[in-house]
Amino acid sequence: MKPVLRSTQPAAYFDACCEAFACAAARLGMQVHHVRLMGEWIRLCFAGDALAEGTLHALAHHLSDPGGEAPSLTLYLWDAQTAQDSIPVQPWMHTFADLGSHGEIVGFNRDGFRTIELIQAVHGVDLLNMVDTERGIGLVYAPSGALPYWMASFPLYLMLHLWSLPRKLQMLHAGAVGQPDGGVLIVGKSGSGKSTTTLSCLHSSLRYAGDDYVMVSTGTDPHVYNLYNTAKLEADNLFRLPHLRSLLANPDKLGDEKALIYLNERYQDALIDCFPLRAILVPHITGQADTQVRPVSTFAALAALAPSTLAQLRAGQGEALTKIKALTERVPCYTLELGTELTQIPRTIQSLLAALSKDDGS
Amino acid sequence: MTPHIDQRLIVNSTYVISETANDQVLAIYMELGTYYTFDGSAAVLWNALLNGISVGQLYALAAHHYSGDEVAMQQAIDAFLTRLRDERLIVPAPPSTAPWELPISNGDRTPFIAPRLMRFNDIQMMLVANPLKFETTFTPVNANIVSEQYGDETVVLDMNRGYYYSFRGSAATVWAGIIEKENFRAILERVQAAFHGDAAAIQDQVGLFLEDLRKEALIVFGSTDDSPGFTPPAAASKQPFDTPRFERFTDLQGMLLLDPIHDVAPQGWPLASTSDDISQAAAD
Repeated sequence: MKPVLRSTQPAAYFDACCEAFACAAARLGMQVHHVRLMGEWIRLCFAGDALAEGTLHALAHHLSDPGGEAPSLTLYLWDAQTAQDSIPVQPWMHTFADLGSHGEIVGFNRDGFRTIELIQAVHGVDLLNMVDTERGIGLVYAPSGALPYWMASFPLYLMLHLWSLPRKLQMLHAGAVGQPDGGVLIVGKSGSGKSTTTLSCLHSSLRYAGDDYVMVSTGTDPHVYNLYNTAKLEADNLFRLPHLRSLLANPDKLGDEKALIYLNERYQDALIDCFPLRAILVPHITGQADTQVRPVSTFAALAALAPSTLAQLRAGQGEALTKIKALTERVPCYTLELGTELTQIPRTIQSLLAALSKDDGS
Repeated sequence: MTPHIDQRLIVNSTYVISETANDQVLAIYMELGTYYTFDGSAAVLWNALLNGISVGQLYALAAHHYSGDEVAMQQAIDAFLTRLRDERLIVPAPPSTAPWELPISNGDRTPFIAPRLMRFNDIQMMLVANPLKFETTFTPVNANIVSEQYGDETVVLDMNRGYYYSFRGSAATVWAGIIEKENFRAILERVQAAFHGDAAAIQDQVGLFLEDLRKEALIVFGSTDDSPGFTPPAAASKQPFDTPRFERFTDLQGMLLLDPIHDVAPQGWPLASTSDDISQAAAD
C-alpha cells in the first residue's frame, strides 16, 4: 500500500517535500538561476531540466547574478517524470472537500503556508505550488512532467501570487505600458483588447510591461512591475499586427495555440521593468477608426479587473479583491475606446499621460 | 416562497466576496465562476446582508431610504431575496439578540426602484478546463471507478482511493446517464423524464452536480460527436425533482486499499495498517 502522510500540519508536509527535492537534485544534478523581480532576488533551483526551459524563457530578461545579495525567495522546481520518483502522497484528498474552491488546499493555507494544487481533470494541468512565505521558500512540483505550452508564457504566476499575498504587491490579469515617469494598466477579460493595445505601442515611446500578467505594488504610490517578456495574440488577430508574424515562437501551432512572441528577442529595449501607475484603462473595441479615452467610474474599472484576475489566481481572493479595490481608488480610471487605426492607440495614451502629468504639476 | 419576517439572512461569505465602489457592489462567487453587480436599492440591501439582518429589518431599512407603496416594496424585496437565495449568494443566519438600529439619515427619501442584479459568467472559462456545455460528455476518471445499482440507490466505488458513494433520486438518474455516455443535453432529458420541476432549475442543479462530480475526481468532461440521445419511456410516472447530491463514505478505505498479497498477518488473514503505521511509513 502506498504510504500516506496523515499529518495536517503544513510544515511537516512541506519539509517532507523539500527532502524529496533534495533527493531528486542529488540524483539528477541541480541547476541554479537568479532573477530580479520587483527589486528582489528570486533563486530558482531545478532538479533535472524538464521545467527549466519552460520556466526560464519568459523570464530570461530578468536573469542576472545577485553578487552577494541573499534571495527573498528560493524556489525548488522539479517533476516526477525526470525524477522517476514522486513526493510523499499528499495528506489531502483529491476531492471537492479538500481541494477547496479552485485548488486551494483546505488546512494548508495557514501558519504562513500557501498551497494550491491544480489537477488535470479540472484545471487542465497537474501542478503543486506550496510556499512558506515566512522562510521565503517555495515548491513547484509537476507530477506529470513538463508543463503545458500555455504556462510557458506566464511561468510561476501562481507561485508569485502566493508569495506576494502577505506583501504590498498584487498580481493582476492586466496589460501595462508606460515610461519611467509613469504609465497605465490596461484591464479586462481575455479578448477585451489588452494585447492589441500593448503591442500596438511597441514602436512608440511607450514601453511594454506586459499584456496578460503584471505585478503592482499596492501602497500609496503604486508602481507596475514587468514579469514576463512574452506577448500572446489570438491567431486570427495577427493581421492587425503583421510585423509580429516573423517573431512567432509557435508559427506551426496556431490552430491550437495562441500566437506566442518572446519580445526580448527583438524588442529588448521596448521592455520596461517598472513605472509609477498613473491611470487604469478599460479597453472597449468600438469598430470605429479613432481611439479616444473617456473618464469612467472606479466601479467600472473594478468590475473589469477583479473577476478575471481573481479567477486566474485561485487563492487569497478576498485579500486580492481588497487590494484591487484600493488600487482602483488611487488612480483615475478611463475607458479606452479602441479604434481600428492602431497608430492612434499609443498617441492617445501618451496624450493622456501628458495631461495627467500636467495636472500633477510634475 | 416568502421568507418569514423574523428570518435572518446573511451573505454566503464562505464562497462569496464583494466590494462596493461608487455605491455599486461587485460580488463574486468564485466556486461557480459567476459574478454579479448591484446598484441602487440592491446595493443598499446587499450591504445590510453582509453582517446578517432579518427580513423585517430589511423592509424597515428600505422604507427608511425610499418612498413608495410599502406592500409593493416588500414584495420586490421578497423577490430579490428569493433570487439571491437561488443563486446561493445568501444563506439563513442564526437569530441574533444584538441591537439593531436604522442608520441616521437626513429624512430625504428617494422613490423606490425594485432591486435587481446583473449576473455574469464570462470568467467560468478561466476557472476550469472544458467548461460544461450541452454537448459535453462525461467519463469516469479511470477504470477503477465502478458502480452498481441497488433498488433506487446507486453505489459508486473508487477502488484507487477506497471511497464509496451513495447516489439516490435524481443523482442516481444523472449517474445512469453518465454510464450510458450521454451528453449534458441527453442527461437533462433523462432527468426531466423522471422528475417534474422547473426546467431551468433542473438544468442549473444538474450542471452544478456534474461540476461537483468532476471536482470529486469521479468523472472527466469530454466531447464526442456520437453521444447517444435519451429516449424517454412511454408512460413514466414522475417524482418531484430533488437536488442531486452524493454521500461519500471512507469507513471501508482500509479494506478497499488492502493488497491481498502483501498486507497479510502472519496467520494469513488480511491486515489493514493503522493510521499511525501509515504516518510512520511516510515519515520513514
